[in-house]
Amino acid sequence: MGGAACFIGNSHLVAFKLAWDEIGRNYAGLTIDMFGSPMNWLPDLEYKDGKIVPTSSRLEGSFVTTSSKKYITLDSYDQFCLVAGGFDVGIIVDRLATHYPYGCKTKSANLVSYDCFKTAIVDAMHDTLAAKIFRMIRQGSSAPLYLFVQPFRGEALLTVGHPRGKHDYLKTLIQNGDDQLVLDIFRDASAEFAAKTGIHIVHQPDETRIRSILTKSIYNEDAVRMQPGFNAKHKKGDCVHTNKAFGIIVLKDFLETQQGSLRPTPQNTPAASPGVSERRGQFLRSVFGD
Amino acid sequence: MSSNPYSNLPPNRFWRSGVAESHPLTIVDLYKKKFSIRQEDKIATAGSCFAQHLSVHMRKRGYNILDVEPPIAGMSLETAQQYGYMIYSARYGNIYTVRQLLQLIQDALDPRVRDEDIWEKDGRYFDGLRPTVEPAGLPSRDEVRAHRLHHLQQVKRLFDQADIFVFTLGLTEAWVHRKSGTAYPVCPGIAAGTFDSDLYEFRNFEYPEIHSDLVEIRELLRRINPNIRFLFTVSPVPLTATASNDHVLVATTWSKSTLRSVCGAMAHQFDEVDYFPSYEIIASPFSRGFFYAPNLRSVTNAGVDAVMRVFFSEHKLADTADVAQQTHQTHRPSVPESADQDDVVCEEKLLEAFA
Repeated sequence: MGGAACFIGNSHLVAFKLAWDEIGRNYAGLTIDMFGSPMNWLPDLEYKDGKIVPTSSRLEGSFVTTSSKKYITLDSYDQFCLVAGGFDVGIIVDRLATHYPYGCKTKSANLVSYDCFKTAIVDAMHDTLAAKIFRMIRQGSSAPLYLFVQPFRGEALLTVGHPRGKHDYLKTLIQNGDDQLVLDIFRDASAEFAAKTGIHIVHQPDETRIRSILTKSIYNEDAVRMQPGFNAKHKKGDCVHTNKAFGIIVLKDFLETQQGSLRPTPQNTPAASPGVSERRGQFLRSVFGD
Repeated sequence: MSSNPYSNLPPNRFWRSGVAESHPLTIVDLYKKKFSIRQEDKIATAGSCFAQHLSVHMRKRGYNILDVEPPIAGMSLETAQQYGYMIYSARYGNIYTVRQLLQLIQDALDPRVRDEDIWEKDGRYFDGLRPTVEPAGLPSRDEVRAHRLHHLQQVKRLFDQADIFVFTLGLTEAWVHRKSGTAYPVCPGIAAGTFDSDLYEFRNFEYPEIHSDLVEIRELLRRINPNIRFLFTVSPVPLTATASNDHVLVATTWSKSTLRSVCGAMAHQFDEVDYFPSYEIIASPFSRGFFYAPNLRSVTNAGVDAVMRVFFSEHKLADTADVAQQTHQTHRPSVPESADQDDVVCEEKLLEAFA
């Protein structure tokens, strides 16, 4: 079997799909199936006999639109990648509105230690939809799992804002100079989550970020909705979704990182799980050649 | 037969009918409340390990248990309790002695952090008055100081609003700082810090000072909150270890009987002080040792249930299920009602390592 990757994600998956449509031809031998749906439909999933199956017709329809398949057959894939799925810096921002670690300039009601705050974030990460889907996958596959964190909000939020004040606290944190702290917590908690679960976390590339935890505006322009045809754009000023250019950078970064660090050789092939590493070897060889 | 003061007493005044012929699970009339607790009453809880049970069960039944230091949303129960959340109404950890409680209230009313109360271990710093609420300690003394001051503000806020204070008295023994007299929940050098006999000494508080401390606590709290009422209990959990020269069984009896006696005196002395006999339910001959686990120290689920049955037979809310539903906060992890003594957070158990 050639290399096959399964991407699952919410609205943020669109940037990856458009990117893959454009750069996929450069990766002969690698196939990627993208299973996407709006975030609020994605929980309608269950594990059944080696498959991840939608439990609602709306999710099934969305899977068909994005991948031409009704469900995910786990043993068809050499690795699984989840895009966003609630794995978002917003987990931190929401909690900073009630609890702040020592050193945080933006003070809310309750002072906590950095360790305590980080541990709470790790708990919350375990409770994300992304983590739940990965647990489902693990019931029927030991293939590597990659989690692409949700893109940071766009820098436009500093000037445009949200009509219902949705991003106000994030804005306040950035304006008070707490952006690096938020990023540190996110990175530290992600690393702990990764160590506990064995999931590889793929962080947003540095070149796409600004003010530590924002996405540069150019990567929000002309972002496309998850709708049949993939040609309807998000509203102007949308600072949540990213575009094809962003997807290309992230995907290329990911594939190149794999080429650099994960190509199985006698020196770095993991000793455990020979089945998995052999399959990963097939996958990587199919992408990068021997 | 001529009439005498005993001739018309009800059955529960006689050992045979009140105790020997009663089953520990069906005993009645053991406790008569002095005052009612209404659903809207705001309740503060504190005390030694066993106090955690009453707090959990009261919350489950819809009582308004205050929590002035709530956990971070989404924290698991394990993480929350590891960091001192969801154990009592604030993150003070277990308060084993009455002196500890008095110090806490005094410090809350006049915020202060004593240098000697900041302990060090492996380059990390701990609040010696609640050394386990930050399991890995904090990076600097300044941070410990900031956390302590924040905590004291919350404790003050707690007592400003509490209508009822439920406190379980646990121990008479403590280690104190010789110079300042500060009593600690655990001996320095066990959870953190370094034991130095020039700095610290053992104290086994006796009736007069415990009673005096409790009277002072009552006065301080009534000064900031004139309507506050008190519900005292004594923990039935024996000492893990004693630093006195007595056998641990003798030391336990001494400690518990002293505390029980102080509680009795307080309840007789003051209308707004009630005593609930959880100690008697678990530890007296009447329970025949049924309610202790094989280590003869931990209280079993059945024991906790027996205590709660007696307590809630007197203190019941109108529609418990609905109330519990209404007050349920979705972001809070729920504490299992069946938690037995091994599930509660207890620094004193650290002493078992030295047995």
